[in-house]
Amino acid sequence: MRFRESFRSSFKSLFHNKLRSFLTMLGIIIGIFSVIMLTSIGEGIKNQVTSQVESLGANLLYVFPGKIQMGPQKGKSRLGVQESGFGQAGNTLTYDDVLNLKGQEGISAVSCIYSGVDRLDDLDIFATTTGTDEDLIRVSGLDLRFGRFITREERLDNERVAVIGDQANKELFNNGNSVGKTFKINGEDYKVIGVLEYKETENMGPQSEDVNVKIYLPITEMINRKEQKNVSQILVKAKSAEAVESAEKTVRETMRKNHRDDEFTVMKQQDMLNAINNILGILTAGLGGIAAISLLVGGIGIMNIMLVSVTERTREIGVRKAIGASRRDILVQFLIEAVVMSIIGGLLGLAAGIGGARLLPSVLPSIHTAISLAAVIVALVFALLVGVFFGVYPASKAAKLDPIEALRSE
Amino acid sequence: MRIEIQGLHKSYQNGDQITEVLHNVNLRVGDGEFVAIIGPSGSGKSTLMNIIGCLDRPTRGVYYLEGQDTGKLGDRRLASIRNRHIGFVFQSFNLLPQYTALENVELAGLYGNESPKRVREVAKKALISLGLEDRMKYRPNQLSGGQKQRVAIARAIVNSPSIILADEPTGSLDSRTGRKVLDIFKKLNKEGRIVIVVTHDPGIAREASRIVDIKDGIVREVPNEVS
Repeated sequence: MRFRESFRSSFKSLFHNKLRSFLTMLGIIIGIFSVIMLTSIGEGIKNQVTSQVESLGANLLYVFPGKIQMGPQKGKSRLGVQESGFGQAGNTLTYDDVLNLKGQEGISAVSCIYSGVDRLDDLDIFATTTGTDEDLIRVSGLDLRFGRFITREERLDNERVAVIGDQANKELFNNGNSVGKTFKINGEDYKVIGVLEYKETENMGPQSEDVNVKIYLPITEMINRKEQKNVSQILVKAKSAEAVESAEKTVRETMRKNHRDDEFTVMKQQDMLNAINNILGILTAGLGGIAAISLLVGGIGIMNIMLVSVTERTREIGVRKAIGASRRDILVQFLIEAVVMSIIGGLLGLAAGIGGARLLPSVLPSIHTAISLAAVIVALVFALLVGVFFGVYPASKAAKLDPIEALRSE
Repeated sequence: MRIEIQGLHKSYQNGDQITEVLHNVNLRVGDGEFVAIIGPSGSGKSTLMNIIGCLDRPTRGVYYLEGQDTGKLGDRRLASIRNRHIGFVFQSFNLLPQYTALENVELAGLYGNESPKRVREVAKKALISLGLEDRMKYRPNQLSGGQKQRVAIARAIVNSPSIILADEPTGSLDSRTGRKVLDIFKKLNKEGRIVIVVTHDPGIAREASRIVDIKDGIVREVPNEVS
C-alpha cells in the first residue's frame, strides 16, 4: 500500500475510536504541556536574572571585603574553614582604596557603598543611610527624577546634602519636587539635592536592595562622624566589556599594595552571571526532566492502548492480510497510528504549553516565562520518538499475527 | 491459472500434541472450474482453502500456482498473490466496520499499489456490477446480510483475480439471498474464473462442476450426479 493511503487508513481507525484516541493522546498532551511550561518558567527566571544583572552593565567589577571562594575548597586540607567570611567582621577596605583605584588604566569610574544607621528626626525612626561619592551614579543604574547627584566638592567639603529615593521622598516630604528642602538627621539639617526615579524592586541579583528607600549622603561626611571607617563594597566600572579582564588585574594589583590577598575579593559581573546561570540551568533541566517522566508515562499509555487495539482488531488484521496486506503494510499502519497519536498529542500539548506559558504571567505576575525554541524542538522530537518506540512492539505484534488465527478470532 | 497440489500434509502443534489435519492431498484445478469442497466440520476443508489462498503454508508437500512453487515465496510475494490473483469471500463477510461499502472495496485495490483514483473507479464498477450503486456510502452495519456479502464479493473481484475462494459464503444468509449469491458465483465462473467454494450445503455442491470431499483429512473426488 502506498504510504499516503496507509496514513489515511491509520487516521480513519484513530477517528473511528475518537474518545479512546483522545484519552491515549492525553498522556502525551500532558507530558509535552508540562515540559514546555516548566522549561518556559525556568528560562523565564534565567532571562529575568540575566537581564537584571546585565542592566547594571557587563563591565562592572565588585570588590568585597574578605575572601569569598566560589567553588570547592582550595589548599591541602579539605576540612578548612574560610578564615574571613563575606561580611563586615575584619573588613579592612577603606575609602582610600577607592581613591587609589580612581583614574587607573582601563577603569572609567570607581565608587563605593558605606552603610550606616542614622536617626531621622522628622519621622522619629532609625534608618539605613548610605555613604557614597560622586561616581556612584556612573557605576550603577541610578536615575534622577529631580535635582542632581552628590558632587566631588560636596564630598571633599563634607557637606550635609542628601539624594533620596522615591519612598523616602514620599515619607519625608509627601512626594513632589523636594530639591532644596531640608530634613533632620541626628538633629542636624540636611539639604535635599536630588530625588531618584521610582524603580521596581528587583528581587534577584547582586543589587537586590530597594533603591526607593535609599538616602545617599557624601561618604566623607558619614565616615567622619562614625567610628566604623570601612566601606562595605567598592564598585569599579571598566572602560569596556573587553577591558574587564585587564581592569580586574589592575584592581587586584592596586588592592595588594595595601591589603593581604585574603582581605578582599574581586568579582566580575560575569562570574556572578555564570554562577547564577549554572544554578538556573540545572533547575530548568531538572524541571524538564521531571516533566519528561510524564511523557514516558504517556508513551506507555500509547503502547498499552495499541496492544489492546491489536488484540481487539485481530480479525481486521486477518482480513487485511487476506485481501493482500503484507506484514510490512500492517506494521506500517499500526506504527503510523501510534506515531500520529503521539505527534497530534505533542502538537496539542505544545499549543497548550505555549498558551499556558503566555497566560501564566498575567495570572501570577511575579513569574516570567520564556518559551525556548530548543525546548519546543526537543519536546516534539521526544514525542515522535515516544510514538515510534512504544509503537514498534504492538505494531510488530500485529504484523506477526497468523492470518488464519486472526480470521478465526471472534 | 492452474492450481496443482502434490503430497500435501498439514499439521498443527498444540502444546506437545501434533495434530495432522490434512494427509497427502493431491489436487489439480484448472481454468474455468467450479469446485465445491464438502465434508464434516473439522475435516480440514478450511485449512485446505487457506493453503490454496496462500494464507497458510503446507507442513509438507508442494503447492504450485501457475507452475510456481509457493513454498519458495516470501511474505510480500504471497501478499501480492493474494491481492492480485485470489479473491476471498467469508461466511461472516468480514467487512471493516469503520469503512463504507465503497472504502471496503477500495481497500483491496489500495493494497495493490494502484493509484487511489483508479482504485475508486474500479471499486465503483465492481459495486455497480453487483447492484449496489445506491449503497456505496453505507457502512456495513447499515446493510443487510445479502448486501454485505455482495460488498464482500465486490471486494474479492475488484482486482480481477483468476481465483475466487469462498468459505461457506451462504452460511449466514437465508436461502433466497443465498441463492442469489450463488448465482453471482456462477456468473463469475462463467467469466472464466476458478471458483472454489467450501460448503455444507448440498444445493451449492450440486451446482459445482466438481465436488471434492474431505473426510478425516483425506481428499476424495466425488462424481457429480448433475453434470
